[in-house]
This record gives sequence, structure tokens and C-alpha cells, in this order.
Amino acid sequence: MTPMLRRAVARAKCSKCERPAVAEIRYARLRLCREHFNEFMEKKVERVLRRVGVLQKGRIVVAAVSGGKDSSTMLAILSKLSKKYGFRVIGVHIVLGIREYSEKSLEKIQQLCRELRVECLVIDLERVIGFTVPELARRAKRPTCSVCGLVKRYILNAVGVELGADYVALGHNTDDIIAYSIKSFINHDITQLAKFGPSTETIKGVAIGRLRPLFEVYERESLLYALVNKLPIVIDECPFRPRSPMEDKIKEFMNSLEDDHPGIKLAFVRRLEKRLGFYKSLAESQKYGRCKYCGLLSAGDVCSFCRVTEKAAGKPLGPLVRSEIRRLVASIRERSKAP
Amino acid sequence: MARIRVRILPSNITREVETETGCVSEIIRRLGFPRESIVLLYKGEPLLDDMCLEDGAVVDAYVATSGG
Repeated sequence: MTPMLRRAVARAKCSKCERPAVAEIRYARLRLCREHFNEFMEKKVERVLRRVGVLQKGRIVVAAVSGGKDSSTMLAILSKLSKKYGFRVIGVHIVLGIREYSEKSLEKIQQLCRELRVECLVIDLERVIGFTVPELARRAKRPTCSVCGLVKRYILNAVGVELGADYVALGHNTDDIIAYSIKSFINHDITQLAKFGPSTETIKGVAIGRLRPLFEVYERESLLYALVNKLPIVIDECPFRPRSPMEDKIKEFMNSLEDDHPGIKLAFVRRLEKRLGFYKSLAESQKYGRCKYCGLLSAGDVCSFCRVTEKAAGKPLGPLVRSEIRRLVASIRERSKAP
Repeated sequence: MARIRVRILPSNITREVETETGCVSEIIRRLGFPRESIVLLYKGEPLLDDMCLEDGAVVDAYVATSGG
């Protein structure tokens, strides 16, 4: 052993107690043990939820869960806060039919929901419409990721509408929001940029507002939360994920900045939230109506989901999806009535 | 010198990193990731930046920016 090589040092103590630290939060100059790290994370989410008015008895939040680190961390924290404040959380997982990746994801989600004792709704796309996402994309001649996003947005919104939910919660973390915002700047798309706050508005009966509980949670913190709490998560990546998406490059750049200027990512999203009113004032006004087939939000006569499924299957499948979701939601209602 | 074996997840590629100190900040630097993009685990426990490992240690490196 050379003189330079030190032996493994003892774990530093938590900044708040005597327990060994498991996390270092550089921008807050804190080293935290598992308990205090969890408290730190839960307070971050709690502050965001308070700002958007979720922390009230009777509120219903549909949590989109994929099995990955972010949505699992989000569900775990929402589940804790729901018990404290009395709002209801219902997890929704969509089985996309992406070979072993979907099988592994479903397995982890079922385990997570069991461990957290959270009600979770599983919607198997192939069972409902007869196609998996890759098949739908192939038939519609559209990129798989684009169809996947469309299917998820449609189903989550439809579940939210049927449940009369206040919000659909997404696992977007600080790094995601920064990457999407910078991409919007690159495209000079202010209308899109104006949507990246901690929440978006609900249009009653047709579109449920989106909630981003991890708005102030760094991607690294989200992963750390999942790891230190041993949440069942899927580590593998979706086989359809592009090799080097622009978002990854932006994240890498922002992480290098964060290394030199701790807290810069947090400052970015906080300033973004403060400027949202300004961006909204610049955004192009969009007129929305109802899809003539399924009745949900649409920019034209027919919503994107009905248009794509019509192209792929010969008929719009929005009404079929909505009736299946209605059946699943009714079974949840029955279960919650049971003693 | 301390040689550290690093299993990078989710790619599952194992790399051997040669370091002067065996310390976490140096391991991350040698791997070529920004510190904010990665979490190192040793025997299932997250490592802090100033912790150092002995020659031959095996660690898991979770890349935060992948998956989600």
C-alpha cells in the first residue's frame, strides 16, 4: 500500500444526529443519516404539494408509476404524506408490452404497492386494445417513444377523469424539468415551457392537471432515496430508449455545472416557477374541445389517441379504453366500500 | 495505488479504475462522470465523497441519469 492510499475511512456522522451519514447534500451543506435524509426529501415534496394545494383531506392524486426510480420514490413519499394529510393516492401502472422490460416493471410495481400498502391499478394495454405499444407504433407508422408517450398520457388522463382526481402525479425530477425547459428554449417553444411548473391546470371532465411532486428533487436524490430505502425498482433501461437523447446531454452539462456551483439546478427550477406567469402570458393561446369519439381533451375534432388507433386498428379505440377504465375504477370503488 | 472494480449499472459493464487514493471523488473522476450523475454503493451502502476504499474493493455505480 502506498502512503497515498488511505484505509477506508469511518462513515461521517449525520449533521443532525449521531447516526452515520448515507447522503451528502452539497448545496445545503448537509450530511444526513437515512432517517434525516428521508425527512429532508419528504419536506421538499411536502412544500411543493402545499404550494399547489394538495395537502387537504379528500383530494385524490393518481400517481403514474413505471417501476423506475423516480416514480417509485414519488409513490413512496406521496404514500407517507397521504397518511399524514388525509389525501388519497392511487397508483396507475400501464403494461406497455415491451417484452421482459414490461414484465420486470410490473413485478416491481406489484411489490412496491404491496410494501407501501397503496392501491394500484394495472392496465394491460394489449388486453384492453389488442396491441402492445411497439405493435401500435408499427401499425401507425410512428416512432415507438412517441406512441408510448401518447398512450401513457391518454390512459392516465382517462383514469384521472373517471376517478374524479384532482391531479395526475408524474415522476419528473428537477433534472428532467431543466432538460425539458432547455429543450423548449432551443426550440423557442414558450407555450411548452410555460407548462413545466410543479402543476398544470385541470379542465373539468376532460383533462386532469399534472402534478410534479419531485419538482425540487434532484435525479441523484431520487435514486438515493430509492436505494437507501431499498424500494423495488427496475434498473434496466427501456430497449427503445434512444442511445443519446438530447435530454441526456443537457443533464450531463447541468451536472457538471452543479459540481462547480452546488445548488444551481435548484435555483433554475425555482426561478422557472417564478417566471411561469410571464411565460404563460407569452404562450400562444390554444383552443381545446372534446374528441368526437371519446369525449376527452382534443385540439381538433379527434384526439391524438383516437387518431393513432384509428390508423392502426381501423377504428378509434378511445371509447373502448374509457369503458375498460370505467370498469376498473368501479371495481376500486367496490373494494373501498367493502369492510 | 488502489485498483477499484466498478460495476456500472444499468449497463452492467465492469471497469477497473486505477486510483492514487482509492477515494470516492477520485473514482468518480476517473470514471468520467460528473459527481452529480452517479451514486456509488459499497456492500449495498451509499458512499460519501470523502470515503476511501482499499485496493481490490468492488463497488456498484448507479448512473442516475439513465432510466427513470
